[in-house]
Amino acid sequence: MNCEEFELVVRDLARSDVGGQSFELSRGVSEHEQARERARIHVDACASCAARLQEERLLSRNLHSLALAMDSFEPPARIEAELLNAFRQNLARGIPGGAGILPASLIQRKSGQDARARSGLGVVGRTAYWLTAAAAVVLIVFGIVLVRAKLLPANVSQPNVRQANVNVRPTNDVKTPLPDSAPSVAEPGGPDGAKPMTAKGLPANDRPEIAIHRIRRRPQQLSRPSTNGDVTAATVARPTEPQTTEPQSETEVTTQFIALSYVAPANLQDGGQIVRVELPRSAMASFGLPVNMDRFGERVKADVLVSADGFARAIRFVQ
Amino acid sequence: MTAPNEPSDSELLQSMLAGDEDALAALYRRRRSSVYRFALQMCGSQALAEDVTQEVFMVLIRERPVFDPARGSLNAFLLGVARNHALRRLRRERFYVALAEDSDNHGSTNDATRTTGPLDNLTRTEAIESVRRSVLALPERYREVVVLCDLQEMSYAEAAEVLGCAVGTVRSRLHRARGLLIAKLRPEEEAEMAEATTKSARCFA
Repeated sequence: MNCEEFELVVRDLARSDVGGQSFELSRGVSEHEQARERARIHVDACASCAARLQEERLLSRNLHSLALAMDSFEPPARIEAELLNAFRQNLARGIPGGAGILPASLIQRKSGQDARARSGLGVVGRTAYWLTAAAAVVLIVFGIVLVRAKLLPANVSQPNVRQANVNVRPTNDVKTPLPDSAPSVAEPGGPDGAKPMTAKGLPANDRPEIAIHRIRRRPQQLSRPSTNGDVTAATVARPTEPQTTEPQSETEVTTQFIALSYVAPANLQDGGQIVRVELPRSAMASFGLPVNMDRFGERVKADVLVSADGFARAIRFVQ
Repeated sequence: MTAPNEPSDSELLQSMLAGDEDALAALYRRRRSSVYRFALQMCGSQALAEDVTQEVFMVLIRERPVFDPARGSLNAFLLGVARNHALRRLRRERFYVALAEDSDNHGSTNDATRTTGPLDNLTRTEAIESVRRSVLALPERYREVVVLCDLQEMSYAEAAEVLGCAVGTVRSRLHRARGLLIAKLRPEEEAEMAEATTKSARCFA
């Protein structure tokens, strides 16, 4: 016998030492005796198993003492009286009697009742149990729907309503003075003779400022200008496109929008369109942008902002 | 155990269900101790044990369960019902804190053992009380196998019948439960020494 085999019989061995019966009633007596004898031989040779046996013996002795100490405990007599009283009441109502031990055919049918009796759950208890479970499922589903409803608009609205700053800047050849109602787009050499102002009121250089944006290559629908009436901050919306994740290769580098003519906010109230066109590279020079002379003959892509009245209002170049 | 000339549990139950009050009384007197002690050892409270005992026999009277002798003994059936009721009561009672009155009930083992011996038995009594507390501190699944196998002195098969599980489950739970009890009852310094010895000298040859 080794230590693992000893571990299987140590509890029986300890229990037999305090006078208890074996845990394994299925084994024969001779088998028990043989196992104990082999365990005793192993204990003589193995100090750790001897210590283990001592611990088990001590525990068995203590548990046996506890069992003996509680042997004298009996339920109070009033319980018997109450039970007999309840039995008489049931008898008076005609409940007991008749059933007894049911035939085997009925036992299977009644096994559900048996299980309920053993578990202490009556019909009401089972109903409450299932109602609680159903309520829990409903709550979980409701919670999931609520969370999805909260998350979905944020996820969907990001691709569908895309914000893009359309910074419309007048070129030098725009000579029309701005009315007071359109203060955001300043004219070069305005009425006060100051330097041309950008949409945000900053002084502009003679050469238009090139702002680089990374945008997605999608057809765009201009829906409305910005809320502060600033022409330079129009909002471009794509209302019906599904949410997709586009690869990085589809991003483009663009300049800011450069105004082609005077743009009043009212012109953009009705929306507009951005149209992708191809122009000779020399067209960039007419807007004051630097042109690579080595690629002068090539064409360049551009987005033209067309307002609802059909006029081209601004342009930006796409790389 | 029933004497040869005494009616069996099944016969008593059948008589009781036929309306024989004496059969109920006889059945109750025969099985009340094991049910009550099991409930007391599981709950650690006399009040709860009394309630559980009463509920178990009320199940016999009121709900008229179908007891199948082929599936096990009536004692195992009653202990199974007692176990379920005790666990339900324990789960319900865990939200309450025991008052001083209850702690008197907890000390009832002390009272019982003190009456059997003089003050020389004090150490032994303390050891028993320590074991009782350790058993009550075990998780329910381990406590019930200790109560059934060690305190009620049932075999693995009988305990499995009560608990409605496999014999191997009872065996493994008892192994784990006794390990926990040994660890709880072992003094700290001895525990450290024993652990060191076991780790270094365990042989599997």
